Amino acid sequence: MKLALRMISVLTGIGLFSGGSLALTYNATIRKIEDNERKAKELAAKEVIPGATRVEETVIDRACSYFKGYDEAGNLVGYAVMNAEPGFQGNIKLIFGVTPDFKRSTGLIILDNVETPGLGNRIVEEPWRAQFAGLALPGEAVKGTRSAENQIVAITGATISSDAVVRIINNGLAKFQEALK
Amino acid sequence: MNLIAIFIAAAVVNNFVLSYFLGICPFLGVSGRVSSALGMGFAVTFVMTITAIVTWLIKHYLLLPFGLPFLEYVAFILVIASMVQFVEMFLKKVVPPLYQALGIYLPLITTNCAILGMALFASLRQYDFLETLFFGIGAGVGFTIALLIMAGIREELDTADVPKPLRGAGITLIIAGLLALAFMGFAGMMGTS
Amino acid sequence: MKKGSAIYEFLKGIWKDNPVLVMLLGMCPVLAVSNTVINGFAMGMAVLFVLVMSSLVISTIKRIIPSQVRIPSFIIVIATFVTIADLFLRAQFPDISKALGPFIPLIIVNCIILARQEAFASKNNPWKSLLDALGMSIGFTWVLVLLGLVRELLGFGTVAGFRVFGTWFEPWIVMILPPGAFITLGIFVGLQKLIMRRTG
Repeated sequence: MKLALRMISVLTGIGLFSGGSLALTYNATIRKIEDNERKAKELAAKEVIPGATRVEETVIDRACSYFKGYDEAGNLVGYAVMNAEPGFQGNIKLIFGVTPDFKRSTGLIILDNVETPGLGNRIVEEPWRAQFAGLALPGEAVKGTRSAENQIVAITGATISSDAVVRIINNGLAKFQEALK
Repeated sequence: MNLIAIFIAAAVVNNFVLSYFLGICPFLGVSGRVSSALGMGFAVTFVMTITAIVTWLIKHYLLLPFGLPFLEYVAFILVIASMVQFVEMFLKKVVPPLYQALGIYLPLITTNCAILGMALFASLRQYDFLETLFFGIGAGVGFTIALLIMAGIREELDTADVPKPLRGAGITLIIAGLLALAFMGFAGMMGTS
Repeated sequence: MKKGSAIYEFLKGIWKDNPVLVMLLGMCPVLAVSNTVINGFAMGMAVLFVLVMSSLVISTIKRIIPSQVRIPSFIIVIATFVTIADLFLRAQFPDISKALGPFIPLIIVNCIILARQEAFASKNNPWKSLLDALGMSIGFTWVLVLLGLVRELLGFGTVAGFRVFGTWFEPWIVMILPPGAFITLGIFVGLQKLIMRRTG
């Protein structure tokens, strides 16, 4: 009986100490942690919405949210949609800007990906992403050369990753427009 | 994302051992014989399934409602340790030969990064209950598959002429690397969502 | 060097009883996080913090812990320090936290930490436990950094982010990926054995 009591009290004691120190550490750090996450998202959103100095996020679901971008005067200058879906090796998380009339994209940033380095991973490269500025939506990935306003050229040897990026954008746009209704 | 896809992704496409590097310790230690590999794989799958269920319940009915997200790691690992203890007692009573065969590796399932990894991934990706369940079972099955293939190869290796310094761990790791290379062929089948 | 002396307890983890190459513990993070020098080093430092703190605490309270509940006790202590390290990284070094991903919380099940509590910290005084923890951590870290060096150099052409190979270099992508990690580590293990045999 004495042993059982000791076991319980020692474990409880350690547990309380653990819980207490963790609660303290959590309170000391959670502000900064949430700040970091928020700042990273806002920075990306501002980068894809030209003219935006302030953004406001609305979460749609666990993979998708949209941002409204405002300039200094408080005018709505555009939107950004963040979406994540499976690519080739894993999830691709990206954010793209959308004009206020929802017709074109104003830029693309790849936030997270685990695509094959040297191939699918090249979706993060600036020249390729530049195709998405001014792209008519919904987009389409083609091989070779673009022949329409809504087309982008896929990376050679990385068609699945390129297709995925376009798909994630189109799906994100659809969810966004659905959410605005 | 549909449940079958999550299962297959966890088992094959993003195999826990060969793609995520989780569960290596028992992988290296128990993959010598196909029989013990199968037993270990079964034990791990069982623990993973229960862990998936219990950790999800604890997160959504205890930690989140009471505002204790920072206790997630402590709570999860305690759940796993208890589950393993339970499985140990169960096997000792019901399947003693397996209990003997697994030996020290049974309690070591607690430190199997694959189990905690599975629980943490599911939590991070905010899977709902069913998704977590299928993910856990898939991860266990994937672990078993990797273990079985490895055991099969190592049984063959017993008669091969491996350079002395590489015998044991060295050659096992290299084979694991080749297996990982092979499994990369599954990429693109489906994703993780 | 006298076995049991302070110097011995510290140095053993660095080569002779290297936790990764000899004891084959803590493989999971070694393979996953050794793709660049910085990641490897950061992980090493995180492990150092957790191992040192856990060993100090366990070694200090070892007398009051009944043997039957020692494993759960160790686990709670370890998980607590890992959570602290994780929160700290997410707040102060978010980029590293993102790069190391789930492998920080996975330090909880890093066999090295639990093994040292069971084999050493629970049976020795805090000073020796501290030395043991430091030695093991350094042993762990240098393997990670070396592995990171090889993989980053061959896989990216850089070292700690600095370009070393010029653009003529066609990176060995496989080095960044799982297969490269397994194979390189396998070779390291073999090399260590070879060297130990030659130097008796």
